[in-house]
Amino acid sequence: MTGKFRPPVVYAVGALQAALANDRKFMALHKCFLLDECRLIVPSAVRAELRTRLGGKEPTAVLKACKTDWNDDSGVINEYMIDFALNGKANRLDAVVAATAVAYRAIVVTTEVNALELMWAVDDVDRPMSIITI
Amino acid sequence: MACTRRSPWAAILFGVPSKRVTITLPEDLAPRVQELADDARLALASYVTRIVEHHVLNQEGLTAMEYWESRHSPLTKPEMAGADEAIEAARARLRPPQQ
Repeated sequence: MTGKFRPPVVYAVGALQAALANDRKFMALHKCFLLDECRLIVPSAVRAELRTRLGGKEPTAVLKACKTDWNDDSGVINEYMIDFALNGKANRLDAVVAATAVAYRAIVVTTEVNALELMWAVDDVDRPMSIITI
Repeated sequence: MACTRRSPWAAILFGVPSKRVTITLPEDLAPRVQELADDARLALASYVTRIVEHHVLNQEGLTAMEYWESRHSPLTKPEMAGADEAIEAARARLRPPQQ
């Protein structure tokens, strides 16, 4: 077998903020993903949060390559929020990112060592995802 | 020649206007594409849309990246190597176990 393992990638808010700041470490990751022809996914909630935080500014160079995921399965997200709450961090956006990443069996790119890390530590068999922190 | 027709139902259901396009595939390729669509549990049109969409996004992303590098200086080999290493480590954590 010669096929390369190329799981999809989910960008969290921190990753897109890094893109807007022209962070070279993030841009190198982004270029590698493009050269590997990975599917790049941004949950719609992440885009909405980015617009709120940055007053409408968006990293268009990066978002051009990303598919916006409109799935909002509230049941799954609430389940994740409960887990995060048990760990002391109940953040809906983290729950959305985690739910999206697990649904796609994806790599998450984020700048924050947050509840996502906890999620990875809690249960890495039933909820497969991987995290790159920049 | 391509036959095109707007589908108002697709726009209502999915929020994205669609256009009906007729394409021709080589006789030996068509059943293979259908098989892949079946494996993915998608209608042929949805499967082809997914492939084309991915390709278009990737090409637009590479073009945008080229423009970014022209403005901010090209990414260096060590920068790319560092990124590659981080990605490989992340993939290793997700990689299904070898049979």
